[in-house]
Amino acid sequence: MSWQSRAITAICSLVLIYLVGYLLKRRKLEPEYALLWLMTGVVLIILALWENLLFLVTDLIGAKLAASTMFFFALIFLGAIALHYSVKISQLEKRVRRLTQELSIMKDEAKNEQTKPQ
Amino acid sequence: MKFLIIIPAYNEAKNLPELLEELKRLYPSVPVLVVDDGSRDLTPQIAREHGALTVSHISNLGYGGGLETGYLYALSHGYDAVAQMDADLQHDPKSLGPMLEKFSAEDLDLLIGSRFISNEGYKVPTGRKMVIRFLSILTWMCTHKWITDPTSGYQILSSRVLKVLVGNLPPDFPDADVLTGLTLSGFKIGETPVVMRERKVGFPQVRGLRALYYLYKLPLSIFLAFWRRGM
Repeated sequence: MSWQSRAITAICSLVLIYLVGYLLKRRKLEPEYALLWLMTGVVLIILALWENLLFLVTDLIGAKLAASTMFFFALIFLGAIALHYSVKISQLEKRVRRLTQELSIMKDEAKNEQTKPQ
Repeated sequence: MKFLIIIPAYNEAKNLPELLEELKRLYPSVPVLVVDDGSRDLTPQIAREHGALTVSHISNLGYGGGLETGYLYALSHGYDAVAQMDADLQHDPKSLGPMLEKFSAEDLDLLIGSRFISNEGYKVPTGRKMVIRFLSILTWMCTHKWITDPTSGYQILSSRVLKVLVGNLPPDFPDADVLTGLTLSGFKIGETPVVMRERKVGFPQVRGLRALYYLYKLPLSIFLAFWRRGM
């Protein structure tokens, strides 16, 4: 993998880490959702800057090119992030359903109370 | 000063009767609010039977979510300050009297009940003690204020602090990061010794994988509070 590619990977990862940090600072992102993004950034920086480790990992996973190792790890993390979101969305959907049900019951109870003959 | 005691509770039906009776005996004029965080046991019913006010979440929002509901309740009912304590009987209600006195006398915004000033009662396990010390050091590095027990949930908070915390309180572990933010925002924070008791029923909330997440989340949140220069 050329030094240019490694430098671009490292710079992009640094930008990603800064962007995640900035969103955390502005409270646009919660630390729970930042974990996997930060891990992605840190792992890609380490692999981009530590050439021997990159070659070792490339051999270990049986890849032909070091660039494939980068894509492999980026894909693994993006897959993990997508799965994490799927789990969270499922939980949120459950909560919204329950909230709607509870609110509907309360609203109807209040209405029935109002229309009850004195 | 109009105080409210807030107790966030999740499946604490076994611990609540003893705690609520003790609070009623020691502080009969102070109302107690139990925030039931979607418990599967009889937590809200037991709390009402023992004279507490209750708010029940329809699903579990986490420890911070429970506290935030209590803060909202206190603000909307015009309380000047809240005393928060855990439902697991580890926080000794007898310590609350001196805490309330110190809070009023010194005109504090936040008073922390610290386990490590007098070192009486239940001994905190070494591993947890090391984590707490680490968080104290991080907090000190960001604020230059030494807090002996930045993870204590036994606290008294003024309504001024509550207004800042509502909407900004972390839903999972509001700990040293909140104290860092409040200190940097200029709030007057004090500490006082409290006695901690052994847990009788239930488990600590930070354990297993959550402990690893805690070790990632707290230092990051402390740093973020420092970067924001406040809450």
